[in-house]
Amino acid sequence: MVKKILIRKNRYILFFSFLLLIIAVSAVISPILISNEKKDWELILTDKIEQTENFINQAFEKRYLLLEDTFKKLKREIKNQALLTINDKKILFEKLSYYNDRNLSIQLYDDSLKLIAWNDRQILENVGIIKLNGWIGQAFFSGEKLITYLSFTDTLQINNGEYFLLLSLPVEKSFTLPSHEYIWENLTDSLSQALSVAVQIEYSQFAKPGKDGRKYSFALLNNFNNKIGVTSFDKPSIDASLNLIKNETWMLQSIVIIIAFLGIGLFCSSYLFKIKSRPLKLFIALLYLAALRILFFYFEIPSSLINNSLTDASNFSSQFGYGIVRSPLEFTITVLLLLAGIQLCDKYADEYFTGLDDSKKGWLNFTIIFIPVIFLFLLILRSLGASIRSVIFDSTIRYFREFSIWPGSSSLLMCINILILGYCVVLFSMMLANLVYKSIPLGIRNKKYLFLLALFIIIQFIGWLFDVLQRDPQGTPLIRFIFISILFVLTFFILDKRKKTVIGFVSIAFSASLITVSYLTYYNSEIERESLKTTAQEITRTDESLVEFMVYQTLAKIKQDENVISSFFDGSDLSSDAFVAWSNSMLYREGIRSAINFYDSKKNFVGGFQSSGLINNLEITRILNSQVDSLKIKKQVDVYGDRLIYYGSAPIGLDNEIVGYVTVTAIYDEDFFNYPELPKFLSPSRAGISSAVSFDKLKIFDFHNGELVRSYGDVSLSESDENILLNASFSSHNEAWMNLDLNNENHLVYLLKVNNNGKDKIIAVALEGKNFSWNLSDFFKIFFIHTFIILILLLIYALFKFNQIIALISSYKFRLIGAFLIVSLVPLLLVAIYFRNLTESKNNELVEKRLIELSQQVESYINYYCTTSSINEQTIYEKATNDLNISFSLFDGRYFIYGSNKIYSDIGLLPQFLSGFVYSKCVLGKNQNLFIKEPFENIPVNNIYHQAKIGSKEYIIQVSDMFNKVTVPLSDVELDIFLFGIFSLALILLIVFSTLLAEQISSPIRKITNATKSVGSGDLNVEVNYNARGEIKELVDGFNGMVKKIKQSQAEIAEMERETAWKEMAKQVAHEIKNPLTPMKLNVQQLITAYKDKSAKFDSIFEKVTSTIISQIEILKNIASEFSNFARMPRLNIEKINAVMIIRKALDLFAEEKLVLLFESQKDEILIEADKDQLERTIVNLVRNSIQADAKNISVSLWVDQESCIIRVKDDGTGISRELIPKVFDENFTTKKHGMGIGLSIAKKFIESIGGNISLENSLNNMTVFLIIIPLSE
Amino acid sequence: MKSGNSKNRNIFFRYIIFFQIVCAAGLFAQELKGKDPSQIFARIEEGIADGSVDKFSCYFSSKNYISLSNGTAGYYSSNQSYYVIKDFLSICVPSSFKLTNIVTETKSPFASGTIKYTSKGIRKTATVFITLQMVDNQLCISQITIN
Repeated sequence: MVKKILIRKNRYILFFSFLLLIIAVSAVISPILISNEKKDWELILTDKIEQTENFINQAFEKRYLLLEDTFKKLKREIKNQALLTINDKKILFEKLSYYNDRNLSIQLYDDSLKLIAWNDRQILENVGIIKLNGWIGQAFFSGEKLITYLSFTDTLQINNGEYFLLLSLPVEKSFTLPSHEYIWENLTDSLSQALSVAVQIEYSQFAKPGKDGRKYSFALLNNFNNKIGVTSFDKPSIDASLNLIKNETWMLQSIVIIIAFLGIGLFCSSYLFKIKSRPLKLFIALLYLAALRILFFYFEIPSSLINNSLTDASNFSSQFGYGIVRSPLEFTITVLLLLAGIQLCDKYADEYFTGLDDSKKGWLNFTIIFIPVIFLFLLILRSLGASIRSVIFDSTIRYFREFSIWPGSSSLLMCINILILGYCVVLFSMMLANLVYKSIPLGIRNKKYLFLLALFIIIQFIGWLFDVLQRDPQGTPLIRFIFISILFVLTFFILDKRKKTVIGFVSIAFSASLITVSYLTYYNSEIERESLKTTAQEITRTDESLVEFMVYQTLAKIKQDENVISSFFDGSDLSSDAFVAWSNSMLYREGIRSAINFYDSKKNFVGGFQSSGLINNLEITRILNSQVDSLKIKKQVDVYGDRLIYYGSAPIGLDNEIVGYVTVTAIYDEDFFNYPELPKFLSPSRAGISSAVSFDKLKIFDFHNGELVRSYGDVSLSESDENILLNASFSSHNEAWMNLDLNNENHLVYLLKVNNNGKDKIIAVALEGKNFSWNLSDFFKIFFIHTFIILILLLIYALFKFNQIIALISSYKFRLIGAFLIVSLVPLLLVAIYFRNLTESKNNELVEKRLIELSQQVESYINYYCTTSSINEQTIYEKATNDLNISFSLFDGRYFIYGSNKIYSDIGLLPQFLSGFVYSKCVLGKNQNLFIKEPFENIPVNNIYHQAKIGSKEYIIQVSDMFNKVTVPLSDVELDIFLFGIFSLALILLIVFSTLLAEQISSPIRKITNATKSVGSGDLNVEVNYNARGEIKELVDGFNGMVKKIKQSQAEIAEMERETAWKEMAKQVAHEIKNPLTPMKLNVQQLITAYKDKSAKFDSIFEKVTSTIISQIEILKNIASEFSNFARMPRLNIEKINAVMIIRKALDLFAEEKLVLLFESQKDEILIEADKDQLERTIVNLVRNSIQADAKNISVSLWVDQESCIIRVKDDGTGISRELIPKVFDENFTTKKHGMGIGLSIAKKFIESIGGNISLENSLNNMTVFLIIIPLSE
Repeated sequence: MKSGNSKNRNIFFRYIIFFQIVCAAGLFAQELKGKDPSQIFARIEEGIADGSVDKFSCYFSSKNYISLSNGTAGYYSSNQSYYVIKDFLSICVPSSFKLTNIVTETKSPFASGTIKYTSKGIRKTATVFITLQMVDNQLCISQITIN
């Protein structure tokens, strides 16, 4: 033992020395590295620059190789392709479309540069074609307004004809879309991210390296070593490099210190367990955990090692605890250590409760414990609520905003965090509940259910009172009720005997999930409510001076924009630049209707973008024609008098030369609050308004002086609705809340009253309440994530307890559950899938039908005006857009003729072409109507292409749901939510009912199995109770009958054997005794004869006879001893056994009995020297006696006290009367009708034979306690 | 004895009056703290210049729009805003910052200025724009952009 301790100590010493060495070495090396870095900086700088340059070049090469590879494949596939017939061309289009998933734009030109075929991506015109001849076989950059491509072109032969194939891969997009479906990373961004340095690329062969000495520039060369662009990046600075060395050294030392601290913990843990005082042990352990957390926090580990969404404060952060939960990952560390602390508290509490002599506790003790515990418990519940509230409010993660089954990484981590936190709270609360339970006076505790009911009601009442007294209660009464109820069920009914098992863990984990998800959904509804409030506040917030400043700021930013300046020099259209500048401006983000226009040095319009058609370009031109030598802003009231228009203008120059002008125009309309003209994909996020709810789900109503002047949303107000809103009772802060039925749907409405320039305004913002299936879906979304996490942990546990799991899975009950679930879930799933597919196809049909109708309306309208009027075609098309309020595009073959939203095509955001597939089907294939889904930047879009005959020509009319609202009764998302919610509930119900049914069906089988085991162990007093009818009842009756017969037969056989044994023994005894008796008789007769004859040899005869008699008596005595030994008990098989395991095995035989059998052990292993069968029989005997004394609650406690193992068996049976107590251990003493009265006496003999003691500790009318003390094994 | 009691009473009353003055001053200062935009801007300027968020974190509202030159952009709670800006200022260490354009005579006071900072050894500049808004009768930050 000493040797072991020494070896262990040596290992630790070695380990700590090694760590110390690392710290010392790093402390010494760091200044050396820094000094070397400074000395060799020039060389190092060159190396770093070279590495960065190589990395960038490799990134380009990778993209180029993709183009080259695709080219080669296509070349092989189409070289023999005929191009004569329409069918041939269709096949060609199909072949090119195979490569759509590579995000490549593919175009095929003949030798006269006529476009022959293309795929479904953007067509590069103008610039692309110009470059074709000059760049054969080379990669080059081609820009198309908002998108820059890496292109590759080469010639190929198709049936002896020469063709050009142009492949282009987008590398840079100048825009971002606010839609969450939009996912794109620019090449410069990905390079900057990978290299941790800002990278800029100029995609032009004419670009020149920068003159900024802080940057390094190099030319990008293509496969022919021709320059195609210039890349520049910030040069590594020596300060940054030295700081990096210092930081890395510090990081290494921090990690080593933490490892050392963990090592200290491991080393000291064994000594900690030897401390006798439990509170001291616990205190030291908790102190250690707290110190560990502080260390992690101080050294910023792991936040400084990991730099992604898990450590991003924007995903979640709170200032609680000076920042110990400042990011999702920090939160995880904190809750894991909290869990460890609470597990320790629970362990020591268990040890304390086990072996506690609570027979003398009274009401005073109960009251002293109950009052503070209940308040502590309610405070903990409040803390949990506050924590979950922080999870919602201090985070940009919206758990319920969109419907997606699987969350992102930060969202998943937060779900894990709240599960662990909930687990800690439930476990700690159970500990408190146990404390209360143990303090209940014993007499009351025996009337358990009644008292628990009273306790439950009292605690619920106190909880309600606690909420009423708080100014801002956390959570709802329902959540509080659920929490208290779950706690009661867990502590008092389920986990008495199963706390430390898998079932205990699963029960607590699911309870924690239920409570935390309830809180999460509650606070999500709170933040949705708040969204209404912030929406109203945001709408009324903007004022004129702010708008003026936004115009000023936009102008100032554009003036300095290098891209804009270079576009002026290129002479290209600046509409794209205008769009980019607008989308990056505050005017867009704040929802201000605005326009940005560019003019050349001669004040000719060269490009622009505006968010609405309300901007007066004439006025802009007039202002521009006046002197514009500096940034100026002019304010003007519009003709209607209710809007202010800000006209800002500024010259754009380079090196004191004016290259052009920019104008920024903004309309300030205090009553404007949405962007009706913008398509959905451009609607600004305005997340402050609607981070929790999509803006398009809101309904907004604007009242001026009691009149509704404008509204937003697809709901109209009736007169009574208006009256209700106007007559709302407002608080002192001029706000009001109410519920209102709009369009037969319940809406939550927030109203804000403001006085604006003498106008009484009321803004009402309404949100439709979530229906049942939506609420279910929200709940189960997170619940299933938690379930998945719990299952993963169970799986890991199962790997360690493989045999037990196999036994569980093979059990009859488990197989029944599995069968029920399979039989019910499979059809359910099939129905769900069918229903989903059916609804989806119906929705598609509906959308298609609607879009076809719209396209036909457009066709009819245009045809009418073309045939009946002399208006020019473009005007007719615009009139059709305005009059019909339908957005459409018109194509003549593949050529774009008109678009209602041409502005987006002009800036390069939307394509101005028919995709290859559509061309192939509609133009070549003459499909009348082609309905397809064509996602735009991952945003799902439905398009109809309708063959229209306008006049004598054929056109294709495209109508899209991107610009035309098409509603379906049940959208795909709503359907998914409905199915997910309802089927989740169905799944839970199925699992519950399957388990209950399986339990009911398998219970008698298990009873019979256990009874069989009991019979096998020798206990023939067992009887299985089962009242239901059927085959099982017959089996049970048969079994019981069989056991009775066996018992009877055994008794008869025992009786017969006893009789035979007695007879045999008597015969033996008689025979044995006869032998010495005969010589004894002869000798006595000889002595009598000698005495009568007065023989001279009387003395010698007397001596001889007495000696013979004495020796025969000895023989008789030996015979008696032998027989006595023969009647002794059978030999014991003494060995080292684990008392906990043996007792548990014995108690398992009573698993199916209708009573509460509680087993508490201080440890999982308590070793004693005993016969395991006898020990098992002893316990079985005691428990069987308790059952036969009508006990309903039996508890068996096991603990270690000094050098002994103590076993206490306590029951609430009828007890033993005082006069019979001294006799209980006597042989053949019994109070039972059919008892032999040897059970306790055998038990006593056995216990004493192993050096222990068994005694009747206590016996009352309703309680009997036996105490067994056995010495521990050495 | 009488004069002793009277002396104690005087001291007691003076103490009460002094205490009330101090409380009133504190309350008044508290009121001013939430209503004087110039003072708020001054605190923000000082905080950003020193790289210390604590100096102006008390002015964060429950929803703040923050847009930073490191790509962070969005609406954040007061807790999040604290750490988002703190993290930013620890990476982009300010060397100087001055608000040059302050407009307070408006419903939503705003100010802008230029910040010079060092990031990975490289010196850069950015424009800072701050707006305030009235929430529950107190002025709070509604927007900070550093681009």
